[in-house]
Amino acid sequence: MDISAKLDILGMAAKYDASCSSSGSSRPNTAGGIGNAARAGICHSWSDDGRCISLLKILQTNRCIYDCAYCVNRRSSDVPRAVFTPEEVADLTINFYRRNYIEGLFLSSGIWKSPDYTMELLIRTVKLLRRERRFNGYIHMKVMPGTDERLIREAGLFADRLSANIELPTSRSLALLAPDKIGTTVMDSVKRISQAVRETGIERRTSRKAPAFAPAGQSTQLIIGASPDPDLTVLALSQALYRTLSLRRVYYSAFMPVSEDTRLPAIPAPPLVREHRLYQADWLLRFYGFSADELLTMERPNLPLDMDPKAAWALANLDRFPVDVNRADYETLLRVPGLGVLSARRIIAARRFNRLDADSLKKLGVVLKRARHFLTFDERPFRSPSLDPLILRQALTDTRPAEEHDRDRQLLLFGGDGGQRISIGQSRQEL
Amino acid sequence: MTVYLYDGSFEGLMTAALTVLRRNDHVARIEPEGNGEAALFDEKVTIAARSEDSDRLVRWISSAFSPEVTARVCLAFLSEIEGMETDILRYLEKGRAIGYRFHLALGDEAVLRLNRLVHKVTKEQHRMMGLVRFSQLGSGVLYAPIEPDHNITGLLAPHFAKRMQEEDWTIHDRKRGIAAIYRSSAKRWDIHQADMHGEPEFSGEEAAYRELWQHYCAGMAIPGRKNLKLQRRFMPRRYWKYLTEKEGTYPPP
Repeated sequence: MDISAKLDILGMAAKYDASCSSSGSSRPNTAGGIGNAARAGICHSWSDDGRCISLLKILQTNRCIYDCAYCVNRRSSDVPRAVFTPEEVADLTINFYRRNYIEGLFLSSGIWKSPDYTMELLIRTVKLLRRERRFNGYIHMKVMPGTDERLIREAGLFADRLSANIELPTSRSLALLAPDKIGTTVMDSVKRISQAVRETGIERRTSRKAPAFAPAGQSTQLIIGASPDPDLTVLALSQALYRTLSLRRVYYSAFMPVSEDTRLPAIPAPPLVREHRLYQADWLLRFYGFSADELLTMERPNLPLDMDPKAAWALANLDRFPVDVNRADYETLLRVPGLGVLSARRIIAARRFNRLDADSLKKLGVVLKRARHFLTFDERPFRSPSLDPLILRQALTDTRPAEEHDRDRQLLLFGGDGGQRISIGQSRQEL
Repeated sequence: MTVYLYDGSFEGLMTAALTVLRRNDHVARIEPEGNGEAALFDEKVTIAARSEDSDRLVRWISSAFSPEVTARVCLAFLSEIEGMETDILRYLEKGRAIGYRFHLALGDEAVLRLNRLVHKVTKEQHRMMGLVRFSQLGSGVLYAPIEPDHNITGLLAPHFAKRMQEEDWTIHDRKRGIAAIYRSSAKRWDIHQADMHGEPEFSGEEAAYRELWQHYCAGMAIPGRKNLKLQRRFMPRRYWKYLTEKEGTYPPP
């Protein structure tokens, strides 16, 4: 099979993994080498679904011994199969890279023969790139669930980021939809990667000569809508992954129906708005100081679809408003609907020079449409009459169609965390 | 209202700005000569570039404020937006009036105007770092044509010099007739005048990689999530002219 046919099969098969970020690593070039990694990540192109293309995202092979119900590459699926040689992958990566098509490589795979066998093949490929071809661009490697510890330790020496996809938020759903790959295996791999990142981090701090290990850390993916688990379960898991295992990113991928398997819900369309709300909630956890239990409860375990989660929180916590623009601290400003990280920073910087009023906020680029209901510009402590819950609910409700949410999500990713360029894809998983 | 004319160079602009600041002329404008925009009753004064004056002003900006402010002034100059010279002048006047951290007074009109210019330039610079596309020529040189809104070639060159240090490459601003040329033997880049005659000849294997990339990009989109509006928002059509994956789609029918 020629390389063009292989790229068709193995590129298409990989697109259902949402992660495509090239940020988090500032790997420098080496003497006689090619490439470096840009800390903020760089987007090179955008596909017709509006997703950023930053890395060459391919599977080493789409052969797989497992039969996960939600996956397009599952064993029982009747699709053409192919395998790349390490040289073919290196050749594509280097030649695309030097033409500035990509920032680097995203290498995943089906599980061929066994997790260790597959992982060894992936490591051979990446080693070839780093050592012989002297490639110093970004490499994101997937870790096969169940991979041996020593292979994880080896992979991290060559990759900028490692990831193992959890896919389903509870072991019960995993047991139902991916029985070969019981829930504990993938969580084990996630924990092992986390431990390796932590231990090598400590070594690096004590001795400069200690080798770097996955400088851009670990990420994972959760499929939304393939199981009955509510948003609360998903967010609680994400929060634990961030706080306890120090993951850098959790990606959420709206379930796209690919088979008539009765274990999977028969939904007419992928839950795109729900996916969007989860990304917004994820941002609140990571950049706005929220915790999952502030946003959701057992009684109301799902994020409202018609309103962004911060606005919903504000409506349920009106006693915290209005906020005085000229006195509130950064953390408090972040809680105001309509104020993002950038606006909050600008307010803090600008008010050192003069008192701010509505006009000055507009000049700073703050969008007041929603924020004005929650702000005050003087020190009066009593509640202003415009904090009527019904009026506010109407002002905060989001009535746009789903495609517009996609746009907002992309904008959120590009502006929401101080300018870091992070690209997002969606959809489901290969493995 | 006095209009000060300069030769279009950064040195010329700094000389003119120093002259205006010394004269304390608060209603002056600075414009490139040959502009022809000055109204009938404006007094016109031509200022010739003087490197001593230009250096003096730049040193003053860096020490009275910070090198960051100097960098912002340079970036605003590279925007090449009409009126940027006067915006820069007002910015420096404001700095002189307010003092040390004036560039953080985000609510001030003059500071805001200059920041907007800087933002345009850095935004395009970052975008272009991703959108520049090289093609391998028969000679082995990697050639990338661009037509940016702002004069960012010199801002792109250091990035590629680091990343592609063992390659010979050229980034050619076809709109302005200048090119950043890097040769791995010399390990440095320079800006040259470069007017285009004819089209460059690709190497033998170039076509194969172009096709691989085009197929790959076409296959990446997930059919159930098509959103061309979103795509164009991040990748405006005017940048499609030299994108390998968009070959054949520009200009739009």
